Amino acid sequence: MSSCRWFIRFALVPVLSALLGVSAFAGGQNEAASSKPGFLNFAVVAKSLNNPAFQVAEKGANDRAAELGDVGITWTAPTNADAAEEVQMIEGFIAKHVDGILVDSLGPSACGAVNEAIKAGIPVVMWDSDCPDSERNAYVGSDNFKGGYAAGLLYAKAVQGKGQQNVAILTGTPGASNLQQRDQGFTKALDDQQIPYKIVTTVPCYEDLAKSVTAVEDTLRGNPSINGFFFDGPWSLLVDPSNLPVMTSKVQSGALTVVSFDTLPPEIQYVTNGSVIGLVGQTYYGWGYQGIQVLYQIVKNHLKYPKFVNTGLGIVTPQPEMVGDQQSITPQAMNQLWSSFSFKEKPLLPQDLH
Amino acid sequence: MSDERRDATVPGAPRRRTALLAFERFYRSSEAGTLAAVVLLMVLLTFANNQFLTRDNLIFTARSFSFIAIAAMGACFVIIVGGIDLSVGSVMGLAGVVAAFLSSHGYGTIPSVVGALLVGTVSGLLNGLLIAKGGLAPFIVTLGTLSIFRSFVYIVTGGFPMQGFGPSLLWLGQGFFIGIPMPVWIMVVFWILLTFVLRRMRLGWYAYSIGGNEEAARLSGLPVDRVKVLVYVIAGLMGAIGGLLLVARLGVGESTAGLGYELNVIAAAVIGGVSLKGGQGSAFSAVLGAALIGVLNNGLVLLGVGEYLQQLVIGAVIILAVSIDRIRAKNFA
Repeated sequence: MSSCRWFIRFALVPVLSALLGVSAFAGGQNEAASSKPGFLNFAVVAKSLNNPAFQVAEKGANDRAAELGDVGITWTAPTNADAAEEVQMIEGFIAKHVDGILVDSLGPSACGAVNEAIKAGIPVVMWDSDCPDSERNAYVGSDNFKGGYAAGLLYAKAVQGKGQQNVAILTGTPGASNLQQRDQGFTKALDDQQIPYKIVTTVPCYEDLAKSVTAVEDTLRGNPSINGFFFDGPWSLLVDPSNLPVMTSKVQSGALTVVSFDTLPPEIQYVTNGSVIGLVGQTYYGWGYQGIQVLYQIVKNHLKYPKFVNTGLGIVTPQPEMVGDQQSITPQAMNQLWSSFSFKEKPLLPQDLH
Repeated sequence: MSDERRDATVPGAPRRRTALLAFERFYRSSEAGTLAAVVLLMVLLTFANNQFLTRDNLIFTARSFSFIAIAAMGACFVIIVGGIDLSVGSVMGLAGVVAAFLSSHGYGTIPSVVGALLVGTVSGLLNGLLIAKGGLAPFIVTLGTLSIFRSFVYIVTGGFPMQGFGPSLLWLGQGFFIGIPMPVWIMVVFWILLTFVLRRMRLGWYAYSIGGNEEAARLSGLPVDRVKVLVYVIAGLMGAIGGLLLVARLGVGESTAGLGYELNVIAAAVIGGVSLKGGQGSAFSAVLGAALIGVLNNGLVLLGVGEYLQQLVIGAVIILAVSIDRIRAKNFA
């Protein structure tokens, strides 16, 4: 009995050590640190490991680094979007004296760490999620308000002349500032287009797919007067359409108009099958590609960028059309981009941004 | 526990009193309080919103809590022996994405389901061996494996959602049989099965005895370690089945599947009347606890309760449900 207990404990030590060893080795492979003169080591901190958008961003960052030739990238992220973990990562990079950091902020505590990096003389460029009040050199990303506004324009066009709109909003975590900006942009567009509307309810799903589906279906079932839905994130559209019977049947009978944020692969089918009138997404590839470009130009060539470097929006509609000042693309074209991973960007210089 | 057993059979009781006795036995059981709370909540919601008591709403609500209920029935075994399994959310996620991986890579439904069950068995075995044979604290071991299994989820998915499952795997999560969703059927089957295991099989009796007093159970020669390993395997398997069905229902295997569900699973079991001190609880309690949370979530959305208030109401109802149970228990003190 007790010998068994000791055996398990002793067996545990080598097994866990081996696991750690393998992970450390894999980590070392990633790092590819070089001490060649003039070679720059950049660190990129994403919000989490669990989002395909960030993988496109990583590809963008690597593509631009390869084009530049004298940049190495260390890409990390907290496993579960944990702000404290992100702070530790940034502090680790400060201690390592990397040449520059790209940060996707998880909130005010991460912004504190950003200021520490600047104080230590390391340039920081924010991407995706900004720290507007920090000392960061620039922010590369989409304008969430404009994104919401574009979604509102799509919605307004679809319901023009159809009378009173009772709109529900599906949100992620209540109070998240990027989501609130999207909601504000959405309602501003409806105001500007003089659509008579009322926001009936805002339901949170805490970024959980199963909860988001239940929230959408229950909301529609509980209040039959709702004839519009704005998803300020992709959650409900990342799942199989069969999970949304009430939404689908209401859309088919013409009693519901849905518009959603993000243009991730599983969402595209909802435009093709007509459940959603359009998707407004950020340019995930541009986050990484332009992020590295801007950081590189700041560190290497001491160029000055405006504080906000807008990477624009990706809009998907059944037919190509102009949404505000943005050209949309078809679901087929978006699927093509995802399957070939052939997103493209032109490196932005300060003079391009006026 | 002992209360129920004592009243179960009164020799020579007149026939007309059996129904009354059965009722009293149930009233004394730890599930009665939660059942009362669920019924009360349903009555209130029926009056508050005319969509609540519709067939569609009820079956979809049942489906939405069935995944938690299935995992919670497994958790209830672990809690009965006085342990805890924090890794269940990660096991759900890992089993789900392994099935998703196999199915979307062209393997049939049977290999996908077997893959998920294997994940459940192996993870449960690992937890059980470290706890029972390694003598390590359940809280620490499963906290560690929570993080290890989640890491495997990220490795399997690479952060990308996996789609394109075989139709029969999807049917397990999305299909209907006589108008009732498959996950609900599966929940009911395991409810019956695990109730039988707890009430009629030696494993159940051993589990209650170990949870009641582990030292006494050991001294009276019960195979304590073996039972402990077994309950963690059961918890792993039930978590895996819950996770598999969740992923099959959503039609997508993504790396956040089951993230943080350990809290819901353990809460469901405990709210339903499984005692964290061990030695008390049933499969029915786990289902009831999950039902209470599920119906509550459904009701809050149906009524359009504001986003900032929802968590407050959920917390308050949980405490209320448990205090109904305390008042009931006091009557026997």
